[in-house]
Amino acid sequence: MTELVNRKTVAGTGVPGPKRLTIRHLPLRRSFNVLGLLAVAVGLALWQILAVQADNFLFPSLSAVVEAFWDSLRDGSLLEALQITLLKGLVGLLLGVAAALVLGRVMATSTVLTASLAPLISGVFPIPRLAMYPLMVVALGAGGQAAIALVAIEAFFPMLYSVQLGASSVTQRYRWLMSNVGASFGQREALVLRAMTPSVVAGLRNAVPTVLVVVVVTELVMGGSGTGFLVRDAGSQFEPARALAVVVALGIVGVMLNVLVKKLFERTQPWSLSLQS
Amino acid sequence: MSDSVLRWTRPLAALVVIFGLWQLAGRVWTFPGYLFTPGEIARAWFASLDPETGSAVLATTLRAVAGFLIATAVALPVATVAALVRPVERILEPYIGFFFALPKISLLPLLVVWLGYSDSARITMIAVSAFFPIFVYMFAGVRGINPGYLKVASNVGASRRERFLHVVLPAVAPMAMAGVRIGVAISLIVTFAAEVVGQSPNGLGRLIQDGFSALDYDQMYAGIVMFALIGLGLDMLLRLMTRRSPGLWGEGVPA
Repeated sequence: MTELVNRKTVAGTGVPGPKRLTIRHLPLRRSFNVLGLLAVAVGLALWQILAVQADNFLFPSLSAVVEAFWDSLRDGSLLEALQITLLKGLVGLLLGVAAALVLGRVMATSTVLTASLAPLISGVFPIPRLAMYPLMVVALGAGGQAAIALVAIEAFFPMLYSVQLGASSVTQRYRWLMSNVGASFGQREALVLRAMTPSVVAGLRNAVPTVLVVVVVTELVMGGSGTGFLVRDAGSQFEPARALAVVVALGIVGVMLNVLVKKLFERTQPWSLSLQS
Repeated sequence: MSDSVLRWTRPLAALVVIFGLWQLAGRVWTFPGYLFTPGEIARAWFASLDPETGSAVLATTLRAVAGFLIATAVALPVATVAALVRPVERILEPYIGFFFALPKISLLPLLVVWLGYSDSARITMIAVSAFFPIFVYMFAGVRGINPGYLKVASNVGASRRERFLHVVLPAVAPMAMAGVRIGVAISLIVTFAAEVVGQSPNGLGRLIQDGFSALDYDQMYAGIVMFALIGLGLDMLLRLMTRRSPGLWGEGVPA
């Protein structure tokens, strides 16, 4: 790699142009986004001013939302709902990932199996599996089980793709080497699992945001408890400030989860660090 | 057997085996009422083929496509500008970061408060949800254009307009198409949620939810199959369009 994209643009197109690589240009540390911070400040200020001007309870001001956020944080309702939502998401994710690990590993043992099943996996990608939710409620009840099952299914397919990709990266030579040095079945599988880890984490980057969406949708549809129910409840009682407070909380949780998975990603494949923004 | 034949027959055979085992299991054990065998699903689907279901399929497809088209029409140009103009990127960065991570569907009860139980609320919801993946892919696509291509174009005397039309657009098309495919998939998911939570008077979401209320399993299965068929149909249409477009570069479109 002798060239690296520089901020300067190719004449006339505005497209970043090439420049010789120097250490200074390596994107190891990104500069602090002052302009973005300013834009957020302006946006929040505009929101507050416009809402106060409008003086309509349907368009709550920033301060009203912050107040509602604080209130629901103090009476424990927000944290309780978040806990319920995240627990369902986590259990569903673990089930989906576990199933994908096993099936993906089995699939990678044979090229015939991979060739037969891989097209089916990418074939189900455009199918909206969420439509099965009412059916799952019939089968598993309106409690958390139906939501967990749906999360597991949603997490399963992207993970299966990644796992199978990761498992096939362990080539025959490595397998021979492992048996030649007398590795037991458990030892061999442990090594394969380690080799698959980067792909698994890459799959998590797709799966984790989806999981949060699926849980919130199920709570919106069936109600009961959790953040989705809290938003629906506040909306139906015409308390937009309370609803927005929950939405903001979900956004914060979403950002935190994404950062977490990204950190995990960078840990497991540090060489891709400079390529990911 | 040639490779191209094998590529089709193997997945097909796997599909037959999976459905066959499922059907066989239904013969051996008695499934509970809500669990259909493939044969029963096919029968329920055939029985549902009437004008009423047709109008539900149409309503759902129109909603999904409307939301998806709005999202694409906004996301592609905005992402292009953000990828090329540094200050725009920096201004949008925190907003995109927050709303990308937010489960947008949680805004639906609020949209309903603001816009009523209307198609404007539902389609806004679909458009907002589909916007972000399309934006992210388009942004990465424009950023990832090989600067060498542009240098070559400049060297042979291409004008600014020619460079944009003949270099930037075809180079970015594969990534844009990948984003659009994900956008379509998300549009359909959100359409179901928007139809159920947004109290839609028609559409497949309504159909499935009504089937749920009446414990009419035939209707639920028929609705689910229709939803799957719409998803597969739209995706196939998009893939055909990509294949037909001449002069697109790059084969590296994620499956």
